Amino acid sequence: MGELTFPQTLPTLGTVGVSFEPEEVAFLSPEAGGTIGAVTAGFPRWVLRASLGQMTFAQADIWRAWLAVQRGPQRPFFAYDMDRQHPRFHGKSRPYQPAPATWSQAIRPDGLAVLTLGGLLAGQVVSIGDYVGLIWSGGKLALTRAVETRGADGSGSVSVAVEPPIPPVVPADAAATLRRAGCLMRLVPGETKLGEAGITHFSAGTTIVAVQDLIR
Amino acid sequence: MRAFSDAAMAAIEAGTARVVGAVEILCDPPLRVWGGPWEQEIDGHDYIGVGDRGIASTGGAAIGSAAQNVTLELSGVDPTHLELLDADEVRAAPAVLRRLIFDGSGTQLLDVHVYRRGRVDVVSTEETIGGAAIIRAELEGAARGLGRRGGRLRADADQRLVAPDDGAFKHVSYAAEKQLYWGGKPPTSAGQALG
Repeated sequence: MGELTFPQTLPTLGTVGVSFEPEEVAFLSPEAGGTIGAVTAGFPRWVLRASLGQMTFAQADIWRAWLAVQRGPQRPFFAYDMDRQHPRFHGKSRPYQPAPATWSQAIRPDGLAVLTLGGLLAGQVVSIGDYVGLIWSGGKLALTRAVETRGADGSGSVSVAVEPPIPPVVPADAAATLRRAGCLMRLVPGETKLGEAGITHFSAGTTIVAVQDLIR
Repeated sequence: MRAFSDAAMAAIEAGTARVVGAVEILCDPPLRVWGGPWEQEIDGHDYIGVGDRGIASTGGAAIGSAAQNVTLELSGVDPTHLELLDADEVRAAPAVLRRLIFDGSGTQLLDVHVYRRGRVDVVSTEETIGGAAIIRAELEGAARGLGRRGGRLRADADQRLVAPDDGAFKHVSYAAEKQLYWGGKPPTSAGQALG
């Protein structure tokens, strides 16, 4: 009986380059009169591109086993930004409570999504680029990222603009987290490549490309 | 004529609109899917979210010309959506293609309207071993021979097979070119037309 459980978590070993960004599919329609029209198709989704450097064989074995067990795009896995697993301002005896007790999202008339987190510590900072993850009904995940830096007030509440907005499907009782916030992704088969084993080390050149599975 | 809600029109003008499609095929059982990630209620029915696996493509159409078919494509299909092919009488089943317009944040549905109504014409599947499975359904617009049976009548000879004495179709071949003028000869100059 194996010990592996799904969804697996993305390994972080040997990562030298990471791009973890929300992707939009949009179309531009410039007109001769000077107007530029634009329309966006569908909803934003997170895309991960990671390239791996030289690894020891022990590290490479972990990646090879992980990639094999993913069976290409068959199994969704838990992915997160490897460079920002905690908020920027934590540690060094700064106030840090990774699990906000409450969350709510308000959309301003200009479309900006403002997330209000409650139950943090007074003075705790949610910095630009910090991730906020939401989990509900035993494993469904939503992910967003702060686009401004705000400090929590005396009661531990902070309002910060986020992108992309949290979709309305997320129920109000979803649990929020600032620590290793992520989403479920699937590997992109054509673009994910594995490097080669050399004589002394496993060569650089492994590329992992994955997109968020919004349906899960 | 499509009437957009004021909020949707404002979003389109500002360039912040987010457009998603929804398909309803009234076979038995009815199939209702839309391109978003969650279950969405539209006009009292729940639509299953299929995400970007569903794509609708439509040809160009001009006012007064023949309506174009709309091709719906569902790729990377998982077994729950394959019931479309198992459904009874999917051929010629009525289908409604709707367009949903969300605000820029994707959280507020501004407008839902019917984009095209028609009937399912051809449903084809494409399966590649080791690749994605694709279901392709063509929707025939209402203007193009709804529920036709067999071939269409085009010529005098066709009609004579049905009714040997019916010669009305002999006019069809040049009727398309016949120009009719209301009230006499056409004007040859602007002065004549205005004066």
